[in-house]
Amino acid sequence: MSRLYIDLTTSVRWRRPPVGIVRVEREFARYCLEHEPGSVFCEVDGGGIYRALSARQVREVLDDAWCKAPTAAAPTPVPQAGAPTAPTRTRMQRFFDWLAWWGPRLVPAAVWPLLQDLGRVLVAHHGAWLRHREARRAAAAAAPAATTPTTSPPTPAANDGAIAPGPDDLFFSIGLQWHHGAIHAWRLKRKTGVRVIEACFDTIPIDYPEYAGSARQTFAEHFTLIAHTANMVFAISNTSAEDLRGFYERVGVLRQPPIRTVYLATPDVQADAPIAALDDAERGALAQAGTGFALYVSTFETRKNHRLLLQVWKDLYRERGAACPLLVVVGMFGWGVNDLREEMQASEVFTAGHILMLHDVSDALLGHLYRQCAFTVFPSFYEGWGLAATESLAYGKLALVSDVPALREATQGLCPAMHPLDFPAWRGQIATWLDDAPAREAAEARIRASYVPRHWRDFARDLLAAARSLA
Amino acid sequence: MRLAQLSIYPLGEPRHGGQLRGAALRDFYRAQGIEVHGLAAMHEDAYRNERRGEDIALPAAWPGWRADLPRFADLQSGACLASEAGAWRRFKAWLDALQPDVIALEQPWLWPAVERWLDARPAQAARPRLVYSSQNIEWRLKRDEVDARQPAQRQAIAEVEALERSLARQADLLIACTDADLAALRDMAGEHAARARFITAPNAIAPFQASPQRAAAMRKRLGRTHWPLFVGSAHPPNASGFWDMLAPSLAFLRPDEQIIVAGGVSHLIRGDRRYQDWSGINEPRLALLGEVTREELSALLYGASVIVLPITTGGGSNLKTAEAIYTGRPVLATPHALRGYGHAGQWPTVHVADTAADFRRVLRDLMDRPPAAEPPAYAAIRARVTWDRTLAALDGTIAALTAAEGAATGPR
Repeated sequence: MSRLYIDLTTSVRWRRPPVGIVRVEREFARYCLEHEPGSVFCEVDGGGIYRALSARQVREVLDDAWCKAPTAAAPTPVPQAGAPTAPTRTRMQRFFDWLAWWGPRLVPAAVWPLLQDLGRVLVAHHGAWLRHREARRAAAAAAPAATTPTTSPPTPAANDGAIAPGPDDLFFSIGLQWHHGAIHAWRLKRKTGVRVIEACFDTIPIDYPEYAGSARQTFAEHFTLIAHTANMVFAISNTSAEDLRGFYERVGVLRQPPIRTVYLATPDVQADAPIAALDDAERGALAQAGTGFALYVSTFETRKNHRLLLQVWKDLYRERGAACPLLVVVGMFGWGVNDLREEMQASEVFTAGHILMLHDVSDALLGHLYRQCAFTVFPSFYEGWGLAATESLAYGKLALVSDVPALREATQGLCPAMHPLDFPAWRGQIATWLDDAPAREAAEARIRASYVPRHWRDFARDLLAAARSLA
Repeated sequence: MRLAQLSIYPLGEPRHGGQLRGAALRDFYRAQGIEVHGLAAMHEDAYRNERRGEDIALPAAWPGWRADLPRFADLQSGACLASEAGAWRRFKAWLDALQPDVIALEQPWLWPAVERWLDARPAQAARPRLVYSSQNIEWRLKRDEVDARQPAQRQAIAEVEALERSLARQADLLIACTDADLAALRDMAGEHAARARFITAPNAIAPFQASPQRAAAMRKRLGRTHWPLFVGSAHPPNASGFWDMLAPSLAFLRPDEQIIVAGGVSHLIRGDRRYQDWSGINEPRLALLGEVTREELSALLYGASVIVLPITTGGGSNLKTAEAIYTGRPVLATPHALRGYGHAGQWPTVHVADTAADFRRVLRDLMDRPPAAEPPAYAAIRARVTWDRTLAALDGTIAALTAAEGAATGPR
């Protein structure tokens, strides 16, 4: 039986509410932790070596609390016998804290961002070093108890914590690898022969560079690199799989790796979260939203086409005035939308309170918003999947989506789809569904009867099955 | 016997192809017992550090230089030498003093000045024999290099063709790099062809080796034991050819593989749009070394896992092809790169691909093979690409020219 190795670098370094890709890595790791005994979890260090994490570290990283921590330095230090259990900062961490506070006051403003970048690298490496030291100590403490067989099976990690997979083992590298360097997995494979599973969430930075800043070349190299590394690439939709195959043909990759579609899970439905559990600000936001509004859950960025919704709501407000329904926009601010945000916030429909923008929304509040909305909208120009549209369906709410392939795939043909630039169609559909409650109820009934949600365990099982089916 | 060898570049320290060929011919003539006197005329900004005392720096102030026709500086050099008062005076004085028996032009560019000198001689003066040492069919090369739809470029190309035709119809001996070029020269010579001699002398190289120390130093410098290698000068078609055959990108190379690029073409590789299209993929898969010393180049060539010759345009034959074949290392070439080397495509180290897809596929295949040893009895093939072999056809021809009274006649 092959052993599973899971690169947890993304999850280790992500200390905010998880975005889609981070969640995929975390949920897959959680499944393996629970159902795949013997799995090895690891993090790549500053020298490009994958080092095993201790069981305690893995549980700590995969706990929900890990993504709520205020700082991005390191997990809590190892509790010492007799020492207080409250989190403490090491001397080095306190030094970083001191620098973060005094730095902007001591160095010229122009230099500070560069020092900040350098500091982040140092903090990340220092955190990794602390974790590896702890893992080494834990391994050393466990060693005397173990007996060494004369013919030893492949061991998951060497004494220095470096993982040592064999050619039959599977190495899952499915996080934000373009940040950490997919080259490390390639080197690991070259050294050990381990079979590597990589991920393709989408090729949007390559195919639509106008929506992705200057990331096109970074992603082009990333996907080229994994073409040489992966024994299998899992794509989150047939659309992404086709896009990746098309990219490989465009750049002349001679041997494409197998690309298998494994659909993501539908986000968990927060069915029972009581309103009383929300904090004051969230209760206030929920009260402001009321009921019967249209909801758009998405990062606020150009590709997501918030501009179309702004135009529709301007038009609705001109026509209906105070009777104009509310649009609730949920999501963090992304790249290249400063002008749109200013335009939106200066518009009459916004100042009159018919557009509400919410950020840093908890899963509990989001659940309430889904339950109380009339329907959701998703007019994005392009998607690799469309997690929020599936989330809408999981709550039994109709989603009006743009007719891009991945959204049609994700919504299983249960939702009206329109071209993202077809203003009259969107204007008409939104007005119709807002005004026609019986039609909405019929659509919701159809969704409840037909929509097949997926759980993370389904995703993990399918991914493992696809990986284990490799020749 | 005195021979005046004329060129638009000095031959004292030959580096690029034209210089190497001119220097090889000079050495060959000398080995034949001929007294060779060289003169180069070039724009005063060119080859500043290589000029000898008799060379003529053509003044930048001459009004005939055309900033809009930078690829025709060679054509303009000949016109300048024939018409700019100071340059012409020095040129005429040099030839008057030398009274050569033979005038050999490396490429046709200085023919207008030579023609003027010949026309100005007294009627009873002995007529020197004329050798046109061609390196290309120049007008075709220009046509391929520039935008021939532009009227000014089109006009300049026509002037180059007229110049070549004029010289072809006056020369007593015409030397070409390939049989195809020779046929074109014969065609341009028209009726005069019957009175002239035509000889093909392919480009070749002087024997060279890589010292073990240099080879070891290069392996250490590059951090690898073998490498795919591309060598080229800063001649725009070299970079175009590279991307013609390797685009859309270098994604077929593994993350730890790089094509080593040596020579002036290194400075042009990144300027091509096809590099920029996928610069994220291409950049880490290229090592652009720039100009290297002769010793470094030898080490690079002998250490190559495969030497690529993605040559897609141009006439003549390519010195880089001879150099690559000489090493005995695997060579991947376009059919165009093998022009002038007979059946080189059938030689054991030479692989031919004529489409970009095939070129990339064969390169991948060659890189996947274990390092190749030199084929047995390779010395015989190696010898075919040396100057000794390729210039052998010229043996005795210059002496024969001057011995044959009236062998070449025509208005002077």
